[in-house]
Amino acid sequence: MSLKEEILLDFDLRSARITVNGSQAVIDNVKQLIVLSDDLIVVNCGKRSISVRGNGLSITFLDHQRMFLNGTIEAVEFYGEMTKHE
Amino acid sequence: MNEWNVRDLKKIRIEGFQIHKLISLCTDQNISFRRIQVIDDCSVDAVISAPDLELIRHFAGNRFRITVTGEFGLKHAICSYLSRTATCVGLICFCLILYVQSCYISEIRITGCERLTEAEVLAALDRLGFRVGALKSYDVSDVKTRIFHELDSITWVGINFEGTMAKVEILEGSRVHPLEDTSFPADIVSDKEGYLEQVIVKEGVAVKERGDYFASGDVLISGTVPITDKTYQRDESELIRYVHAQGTVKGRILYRWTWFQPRYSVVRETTGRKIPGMSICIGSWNFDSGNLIQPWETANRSVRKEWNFLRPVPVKVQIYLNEEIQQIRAEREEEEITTLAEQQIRSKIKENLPKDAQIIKKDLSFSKKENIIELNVLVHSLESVGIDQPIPQ
Repeated sequence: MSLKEEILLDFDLRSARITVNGSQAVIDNVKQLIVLSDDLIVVNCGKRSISVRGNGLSITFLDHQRMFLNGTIEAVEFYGEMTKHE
Repeated sequence: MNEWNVRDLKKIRIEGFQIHKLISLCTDQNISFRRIQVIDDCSVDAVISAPDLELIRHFAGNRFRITVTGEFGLKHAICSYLSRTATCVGLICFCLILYVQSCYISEIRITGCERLTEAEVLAALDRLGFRVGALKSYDVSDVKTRIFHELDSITWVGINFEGTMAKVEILEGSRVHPLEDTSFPADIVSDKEGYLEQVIVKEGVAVKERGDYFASGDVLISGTVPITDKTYQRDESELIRYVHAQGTVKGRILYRWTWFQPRYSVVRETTGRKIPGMSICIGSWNFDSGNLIQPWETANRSVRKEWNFLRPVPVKVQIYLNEEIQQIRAEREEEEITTLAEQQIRSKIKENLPKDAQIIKKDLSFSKKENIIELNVLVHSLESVGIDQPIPQ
């Protein structure tokens, strides 16, 4: 990955970005909370939406368009139109 | 996130439908949420900053119910402790008592005493106002200066505080001799009788020489000093000068003591014949088999077994062995007599001789009489003799 591509990826404020392991997830560029429940959390990140499915999900922190998730994460899905860039 | 945060936080429960819309609306207004926990479809728990609560209530309006279920933070903790009045008062009293008690001297420890006793030093400090119970802020430098007037033999003093304990360290100088009044003419006369061993004259004229016998009251150093003037013819009365005699006179003083000790002692020997016995004591009632069977005139009882109970009833049971004893009169050994005599001599020396006396010789002689031994002790002691006696004008 070139430096330009890396910078564009990091500073793209409308792209849906998630960093996840089995029990924690960090979602950036959160614009809107669409679904909030114990086993499904769906957020709108502007261009696309991210859905996190699992068990015992809870939001540890939600501020400045950044969300920390906790719980047993089973699946991550992306929704919405894909642009030429993606 | 750590619950213990300096900022004030509130735990709230949001009840209503489509709670996610309210949360999204709040996050758009830069309101932070922590620990969002979904309870059920219509209830969500979250932790927010205290100042944001009113804003969230404003956004919630009538569609959602916001309930505060808990509070965290430093301000809340302080307020909750301050609300316990009795605890606060007790804490303040405790701190006050602790502070007040730390202001006073609770103990004075003296080190470095040699000839002075601790009691004397403490008494001197007490006269200066430095005592247990005095304030620690007492002027220590003033005490250190004034104690030299109270105790002459001190050459250095240090006072330090360790908490409420004052450590006083003193250093004593050499023995202080009292000043002698030499303003009047005087002779040095002996206060004991003995033989002269040493005369050192500082002022005056020595009357006796080494080896001379002196009795109590004899002049040893005279304060009447003759003047020898070969230049002019003078009157006889002008040829005498009167001084206060000074000097050191040491004499050999003889002490004679006589004691008596018994010549014979009684030795107890067992004959080999024995009888066992038993004694029972219940309360004040007592039974002893030895009282019924007493075949010998003299016997020795040795307890073999003993049981002693206090409860429920005071009972004491003894099993003993009675052995016949034969008392034989035997002459005491010379070694035993000498040992006892030495003890008596040491005791007498301590009582009668001055502390600076030096024992030159000890003679001990025995004289056996019919039932007693006569002990004659002669102790030669080297002592300072001589007291001032004013010369009558």
